[in-house]
Amino acid sequence: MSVPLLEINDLQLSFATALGISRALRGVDLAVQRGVSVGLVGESGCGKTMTGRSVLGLLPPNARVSGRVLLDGIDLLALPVERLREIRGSRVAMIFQDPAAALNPVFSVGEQLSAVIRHHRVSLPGRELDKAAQLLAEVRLSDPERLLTRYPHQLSGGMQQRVMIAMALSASPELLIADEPTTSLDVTVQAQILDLLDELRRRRELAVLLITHNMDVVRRATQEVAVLYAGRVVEHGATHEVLGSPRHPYTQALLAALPRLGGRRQPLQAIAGSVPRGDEAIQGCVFASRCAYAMDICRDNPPRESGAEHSVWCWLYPS
Amino acid sequence: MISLVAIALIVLAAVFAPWLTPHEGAGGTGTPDLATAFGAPSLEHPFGTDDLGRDVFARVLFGARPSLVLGAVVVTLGMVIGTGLGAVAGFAGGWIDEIIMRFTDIILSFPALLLAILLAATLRPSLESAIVAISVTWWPWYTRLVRAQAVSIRERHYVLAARSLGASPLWVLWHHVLPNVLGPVRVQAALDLGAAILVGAALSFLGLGSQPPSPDWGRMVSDGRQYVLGGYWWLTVFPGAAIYVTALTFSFLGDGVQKASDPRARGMSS
Amino acid sequence: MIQAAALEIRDLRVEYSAGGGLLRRPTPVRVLDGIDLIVKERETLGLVGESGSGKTTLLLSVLRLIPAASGQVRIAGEDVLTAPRDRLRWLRRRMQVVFQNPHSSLDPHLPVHELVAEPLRIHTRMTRPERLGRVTNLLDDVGLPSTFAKAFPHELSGGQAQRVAIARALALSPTLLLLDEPTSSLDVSVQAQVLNLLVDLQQELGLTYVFVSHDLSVVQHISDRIAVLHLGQIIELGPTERIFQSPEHPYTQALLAASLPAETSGAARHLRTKPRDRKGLPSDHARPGSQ
Repeated sequence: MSVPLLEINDLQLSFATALGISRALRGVDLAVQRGVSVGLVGESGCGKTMTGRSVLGLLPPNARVSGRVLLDGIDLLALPVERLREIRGSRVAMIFQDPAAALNPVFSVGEQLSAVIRHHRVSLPGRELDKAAQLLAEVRLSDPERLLTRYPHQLSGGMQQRVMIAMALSASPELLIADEPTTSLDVTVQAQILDLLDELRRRRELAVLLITHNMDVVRRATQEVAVLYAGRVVEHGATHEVLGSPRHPYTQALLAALPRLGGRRQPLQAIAGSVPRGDEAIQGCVFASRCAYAMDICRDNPPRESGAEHSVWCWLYPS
Repeated sequence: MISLVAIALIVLAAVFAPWLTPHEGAGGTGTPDLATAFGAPSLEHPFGTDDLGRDVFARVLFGARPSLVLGAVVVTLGMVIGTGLGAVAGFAGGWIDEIIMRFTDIILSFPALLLAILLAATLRPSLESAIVAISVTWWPWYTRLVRAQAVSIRERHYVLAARSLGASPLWVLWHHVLPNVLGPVRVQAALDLGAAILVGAALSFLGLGSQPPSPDWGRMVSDGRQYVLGGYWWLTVFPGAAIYVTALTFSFLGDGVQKASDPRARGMSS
Repeated sequence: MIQAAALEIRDLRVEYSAGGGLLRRPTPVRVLDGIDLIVKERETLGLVGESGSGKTTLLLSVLRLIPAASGQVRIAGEDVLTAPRDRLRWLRRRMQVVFQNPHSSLDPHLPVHELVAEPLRIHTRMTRPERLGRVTNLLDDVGLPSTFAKAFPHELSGGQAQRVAIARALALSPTLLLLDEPTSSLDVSVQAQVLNLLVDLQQELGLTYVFVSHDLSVVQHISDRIAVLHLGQIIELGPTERIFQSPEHPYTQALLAASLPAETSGAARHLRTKPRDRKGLPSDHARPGSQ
C-alpha cells in the first residue's frame, strides 16, 4: 500500500463561543490515496464539513485546532498562512454545495475562470481564455467558447457545478475536496456530476474526499468510505464492504433506517436519542449514549482502531 | 453598558432636576437676578449665571426635559407610523405599495433638516410644533426599512403556512409580519434617539423649538452666542456640552443595541 | 367497493408571466399544463418530479395560495378554486400542508403552543385553556412531551420542529394532508422517525396524503400510487410497485436509473437493468382492493 496523499491524525477542532467551548471534531483519523475517492459520510452536525475545511485551513477566527493534517508528509496545520495560500488551489482544491452561491454573479464565467488561472499562473499571460475553454471542455460542457461569455445565472445548476469543478481543477490539484457537491442538484444531474468526478479522478489520478450525508452518493461515487459521528470516525473501509457488512453499530443503524424497496409501510428503524451537543464533553465512545450494545468500557474509554483494511472504532471488536 | 448608565443618569437628572438645584425659578426657567448676571462658574452657581442672572446649571438640568421628550416622541411617532405604513406596503404589494412608497419618496426627496425647519416655521414656534415637524421627516426612513423586510417575509414559509390555515391578511400582518420586522426597527430606533435630539437642538437653536423663558439647550446656545466674544463662555459651552454628551451617549446605546442583535455574536459553527 | 375521492383535480393550469418590458408583452410560462388527478380517500399519493416540474406549484395552487389560470380542484365535491370566502374557510380546514423546512415554516418568534394553537384561534371559538388542552393532545399525538410547548423553534431539532409542524397541521382535524418534501431536510435517522409517525397517523386518523418528494426511496416506501410530474404535466401515474418495476415513460425510466436504491440487493440491481416493456395504458384504473 502506497503512502496516502492525505493523512489526518487525531484532528480535533473546537470553537470558542460566547456560550463556552463547542467541540466539532473530537479526533478524526483519515487517509486518502491518490486516485481514490473516499467518502466522508455522516448526519448533520457530525463535523464532515469542518473536516474538509480544516484541511484547507478555512476556519473562523475562534477555531482551535490540534492534531496533524499531512499532505504528502507536510503538516498543513503547522504551516504559516502564506505557504498555506500557495497550496490552496494548486495542490488542494475544494468545491461546495451551492454552485450558485460560490460563483460571483457579476462576472462572466470566462472572467472568473481567467482570474483563477491567472492567479495560479497556469497559462501563458494573455492565453487564459484558451485555458479556460480547455477546462470547460474537460468538464464536458458543450460549446465552451460561448459559455465563457455567459453569466452564472444563465446556467443551470448542473452547468454551474461543472464550472466550479473546472475552476477547482485549473491549477491541477492533487487532492479535491467536494463538500456535498450534488445535494442541491436534481437527481438526474447528480448522477452526471458524480460520473464526471469519477472520470476526472481516473484521468488525473486525483485523490478525492467526497463529503456527503447521502448513502446513494457514497455507493455510486466512492471506493472507500469513512463514517463520521459526533466528530469522530467510527468506521472506515472499502465502500461495498462497509455498506454491505457494516461493523459499527452506528453504521448498521444508519443503514437500517433507510427506506428500502419492497419493505413498504413497515416501520423504519429509527435511532433513539440524539447526537451529542458540541458543549458536551464525552469521556468514552461518542456513540455510547445511543448504542444498543453499550458496555461500561464504552462509556469510560474511547475505543481504539480495530482491523486494517476495514477498520472500526468500537469495543465490540478486538484492538 | 456604560452608555446605559450615562443615559440613566441623564434621565434621572432631568426627572429630578427640581431637587438638584436651589435655583429653579418658575418651572426651571431660573430666577432672573440682574445683580448676579454674567457670574462665572462658582460653588454657588456651578455653571455660572446667564445674561439675566439665571443659574445656568439649573437651566441645563431642566433643559434636558424638552430634549429627551422630543427625542422619545419623535422616534416613537416615526417608528409607529413608519413601521405601520411600511409593513402594509411591503405585505400588500400592488397599488397600495405604490401609493405609500411614492408618498414616502416625496418626503424623502427633501433634505430632512430643511423640511423640518420649513414645517416648524409655518407652525407657531413651540416644542410641540418642533416635535410634529421633525416626526414628519422621520417616519419615511422606517417605512423604507420595514417595507424591504416585509417583502422578504411575505415569501417565507411561515407566512404561507398561516395563509394556508385560512388566516386573513390582517391576521398575518399583525401576528407574523410585524413581530418579525421589529428587529431592525428597534436597532434603528436606538440609533435614532441621539440623532433626533440633535435635530431638535438644531431647530431650537434657530428659535423654532421651546420659546423663552423655557430652558432649552439649543436655544441657550443660540442666546449665549453673542456674549462669547465678551469672554462669557459659560452661557454657551455648558448647554452645548450637554447636547454633545447626550447625543453621544445615545449614539453609543444605539451601537450597543446593534451589536447585541447581530446574529454573528452567537459564534457557533456547524 | 369504490373508494371516494378525497381530492379531484381537473385540468389545472397555472401560469406566470415572464419577460416583458416596455415594448414587449410578457409571455406566459406554463408551470402546470393541464393536471388531472384523483386522490382516493385514505391513500397516499406520491408525487415525484425534479425542480421545475411544478410539484410545489401544484400543492400551492390546490391550497389556493397561488392563483390558477383555469381548472378545478374539488374537495368533498366542492371546487376550492371558485369557492366564496366563507366556504373557502371551511374547505381550508379540511386540507392542511406540511412544508419541507420546519424552521422556515414555523414563525421563529412564537413558542410551540402558540404555533400549534394558531389554527384553533383563527377558526374556532375555543377558550385559551381549551386550546392549550388540545395543543397538549396534539403534541402527544406526534410524540412530543408537553414540556416542548414553551420552546421556540430555534431550540428544536429538525425532527422535533417538523413534528410541531405536523401537529399544527392536524389541529383542525383535516382529512387531507399535503406534504411538500417533509423529510428532505432531515437526517436519515430522524427521517425514519417522522415517516413512521406519518404512517401511524394515517392509520389512526384515516388521513389522505399527497406526498411530494424527489427522494424515490422515501416515496416508494410511503406511497400507494405514484404520479410522475415533468414540465408541468403528469407523464405517468400508477401503483407504486408497477412504477418501480416497469416504468413506461422514458423520463420515469431515466429518473429511476439515476437514483439508485439505498441497498445493493438483488432486487435493486435487477431494477436497473430490467428491459423495458410497454404493456397496458400509462394511466391508472383503480381496481377494487388494488394496493
